[in-house]
Amino acid sequence: MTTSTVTTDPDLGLPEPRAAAGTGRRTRGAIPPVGVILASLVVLLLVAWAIAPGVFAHGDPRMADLTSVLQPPSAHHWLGTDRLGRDVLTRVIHGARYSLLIALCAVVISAVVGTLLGVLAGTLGKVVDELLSRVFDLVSAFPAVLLALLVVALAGSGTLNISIAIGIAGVPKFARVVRAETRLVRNADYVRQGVLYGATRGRTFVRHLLPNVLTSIPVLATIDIGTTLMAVSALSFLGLGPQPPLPEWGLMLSEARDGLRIAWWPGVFPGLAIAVTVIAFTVVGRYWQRRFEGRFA
Amino acid sequence: MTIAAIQQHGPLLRRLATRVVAGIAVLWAAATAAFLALHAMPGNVADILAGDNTYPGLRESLERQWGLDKPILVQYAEFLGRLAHGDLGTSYTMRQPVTSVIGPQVMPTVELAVAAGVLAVVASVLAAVLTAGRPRLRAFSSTVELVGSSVPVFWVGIVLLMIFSFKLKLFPVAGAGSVAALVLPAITLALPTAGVLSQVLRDAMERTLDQPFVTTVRARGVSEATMRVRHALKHALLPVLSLAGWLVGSLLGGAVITESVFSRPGLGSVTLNAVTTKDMPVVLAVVLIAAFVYVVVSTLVDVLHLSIDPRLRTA
Repeated sequence: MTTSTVTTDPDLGLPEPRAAAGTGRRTRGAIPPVGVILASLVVLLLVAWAIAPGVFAHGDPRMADLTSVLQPPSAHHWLGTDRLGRDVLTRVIHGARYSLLIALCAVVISAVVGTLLGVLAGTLGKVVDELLSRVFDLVSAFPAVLLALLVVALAGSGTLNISIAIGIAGVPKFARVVRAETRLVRNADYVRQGVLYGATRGRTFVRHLLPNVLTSIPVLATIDIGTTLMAVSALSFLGLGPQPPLPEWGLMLSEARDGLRIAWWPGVFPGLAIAVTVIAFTVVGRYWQRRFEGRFA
Repeated sequence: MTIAAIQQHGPLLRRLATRVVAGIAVLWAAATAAFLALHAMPGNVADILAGDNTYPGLRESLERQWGLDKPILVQYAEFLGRLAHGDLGTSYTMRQPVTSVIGPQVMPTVELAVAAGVLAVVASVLAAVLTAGRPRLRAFSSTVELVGSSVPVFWVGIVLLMIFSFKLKLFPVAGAGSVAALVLPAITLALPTAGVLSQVLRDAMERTLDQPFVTTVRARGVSEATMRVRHALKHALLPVLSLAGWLVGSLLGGAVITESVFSRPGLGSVTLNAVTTKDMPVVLAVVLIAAFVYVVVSTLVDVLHLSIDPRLRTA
């Protein structure tokens, strides 16, 4: 499998790029290591924010203070305050927990269901493989937002439901990779050797197939967190996810929308947080993908 | 068509037929899934229709009126029959045909999607032609692309609104109808799409620039610009063509959010409305339309591929 770094944006379900005939130029790293280090630091900071927001921001993100409404950024409120007088920086820091957790849930759903279906498609023979592959094609061709809206319409809105909705939309990208890996590993010499030595089906599967198939999942998932976060925050921006007064980034943006004429800061900073998070996870994920490239083929 | 012509184009026609049949199968599957979704929805359809009203006989009369008392297979057959005639059902909340709910909203969305699509394609072709195989420019443009495809659509929309509508007062804040009102939404929607397209296009362009025929063209003394535009671009566009289906999908999906940010009328706002009011027939109609558009576009693209690239015909 030729993996080119440019088409690895996993949310898009892009068709696999055709292998260049013979003289394909190796795609050089678009991101210098300095950028990768920076991105890793950002990821670490975000995770720290999500785990212990109290360390980085004092005060309650839900605490309204009507004496300091819509204060512009200042030494006291670095990112200003929103229309209920809540400190925007505090809310952005606390928001990391909600936004990242929803995205992580969605990625876990995609990865688990995708791995399962991918392994099934890779092992259960031609008919199942053909059928599942068609379904993957279909689902990945469909716009994720529309698919998620359909799930929300069926299951109702809410934090868990948007995770499930976006998670379902992301199943094919994991399933496809796992399917391809399964087919490769299944025919590898060491697996055949194991079978020759009398390993049972179950043992072959658990001891040999699964660990080797799963190696690519963490890298895929890391890249995916970024794009998933974007999809999830879009749904929550539309008002279908967490509800006020939770400090979720997409929700904060949508709450700030009406007051933009007067105050730009409550809308700009949560969006910036989303963008920086997406970029950081994508950069780190792509870097690891390049590092691992060729180890699976 | 003479027999000779059929023999000559036989494989081509067979591939065409396969594609069309596959497309119809996909649409049938989507329609069946939609029917199942309508009936698998939590809560009985009659209960949803009744809303908060309860009086004796209401359920029965609703069931009779909406054909819910018939066997499920009959309902399924009727559903497919209606779809084939372009009838997308009746809205639960508005009690009028879905087609007349959706109909007036199609044009604003098409306008937005077409404008954004053209913008994205032009921008990515420019980026690819200018930066492919040129390390410095390439690094710059791939950074721009990363940022472009990582920034949430709704945030871009809001920032553009703040700068160009509130501060500079160049464009109207909301609404549709005028060209000026289309500018900001189109840019917003085009940005993430352009980011992805130009990545793919530049990659294809760089692979093309490695081909021997490029060396031949250069050896003839053709200028670099002419070579890139007249010779290399044609080849580089082929892989992008297969992205057309994805492009349409991403524009439609992005339109939902863009329309919400700019308070534009359109399919997106109708869908969002239907989702929050649980008006399943409308939601499913939009999903089916999206599936239909996708199938038509990808079938057309396949045909186009075959007619552009003779190498595919011999397979």
